[in-house]
Amino acid sequence: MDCGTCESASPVVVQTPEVVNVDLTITENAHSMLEQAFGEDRSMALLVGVLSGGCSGYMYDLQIVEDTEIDCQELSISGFRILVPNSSSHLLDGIQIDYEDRLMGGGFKINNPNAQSSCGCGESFA
Amino acid sequence: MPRLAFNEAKALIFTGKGIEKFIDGLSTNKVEFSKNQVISTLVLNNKAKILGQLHLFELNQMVVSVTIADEFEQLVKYLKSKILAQDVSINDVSNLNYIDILYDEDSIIKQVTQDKDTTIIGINNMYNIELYSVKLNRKDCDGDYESFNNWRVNNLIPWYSYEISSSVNPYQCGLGYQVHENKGCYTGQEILTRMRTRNKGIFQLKSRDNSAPEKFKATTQGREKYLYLQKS
Repeated sequence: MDCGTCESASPVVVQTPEVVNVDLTITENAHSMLEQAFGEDRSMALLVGVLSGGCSGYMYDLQIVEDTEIDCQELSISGFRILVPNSSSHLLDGIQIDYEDRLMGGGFKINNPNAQSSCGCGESFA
Repeated sequence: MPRLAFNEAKALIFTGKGIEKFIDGLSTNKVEFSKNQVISTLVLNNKAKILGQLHLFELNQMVVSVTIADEFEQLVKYLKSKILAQDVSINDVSNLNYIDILYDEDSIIKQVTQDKDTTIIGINNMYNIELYSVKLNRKDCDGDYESFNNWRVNNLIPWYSYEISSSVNPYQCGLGYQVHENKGCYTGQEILTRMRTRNKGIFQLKSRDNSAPEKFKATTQGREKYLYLQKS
């Protein structure tokens, strides 16, 4: 087959999502948990990203990182460094990061006004 | 082996380091590539309806997908919208290749064979798909849809615009074998799992002689038999 690596091939089309200046909030519960997680060290950052997959098509991806090679916008909220990849900024504008303290299914939760639906566990959205 | 021009199929090339994880996270079957193996999987919407069927294989550090979809452009748009920051690119090379089906013979290949211009893949031990450059002459397509449908009826093979469409899920059209029951989350999984555990709404593809007295609604009409879907 002709796999398009020769000169006759059309160029690879890369879709670049629209970059949005993200506005996000953190609830008091989430703030407390982040304080426990970060301690005094505020050089670390919370990376709030989105991956494909999950029951609804997109999955949230939360990581504590020092830095990242991903093209991100950096926010400072309540003294915390928050990194949001530009590639998923259109999906994360307006989110609220919450924390639910429950025996089952607890942890950080994202309330996302852009989500049309989400799966039962709350980790995936569409 | 009769040959039929498979004009409904498209050829997509996936490149990048994250291809396996990307497709696995968006489709029904377990996507783990191994050399010369073909993986058939389905991309569903959030109501578990079929957006498209991908027959995937590795080729020179890329992944090729022979893709069938009711609305191909919509499927590609859907896949591209999920790339985000992942190292994945998708390119449509359909206009560079002819795609044919070879059916109704014992010599079905099980894997992938290729030479300079031609690649042949075996689909689920049922039929072969051949991709070859449009720089070559189109091979003689001596098959026709009537004989192809007749062969499908005899071999219980569901097909697009007959059994398969964007208004059904895999369990409603005889494609349940392309749903991996133990893999991680993907779009539509919750609905399929519910159907399976409650054994509700699952259909089996069956065939019946045209002359049999009890009639069912035919999805494909063959010469001596017809295909129909029956709740299991």
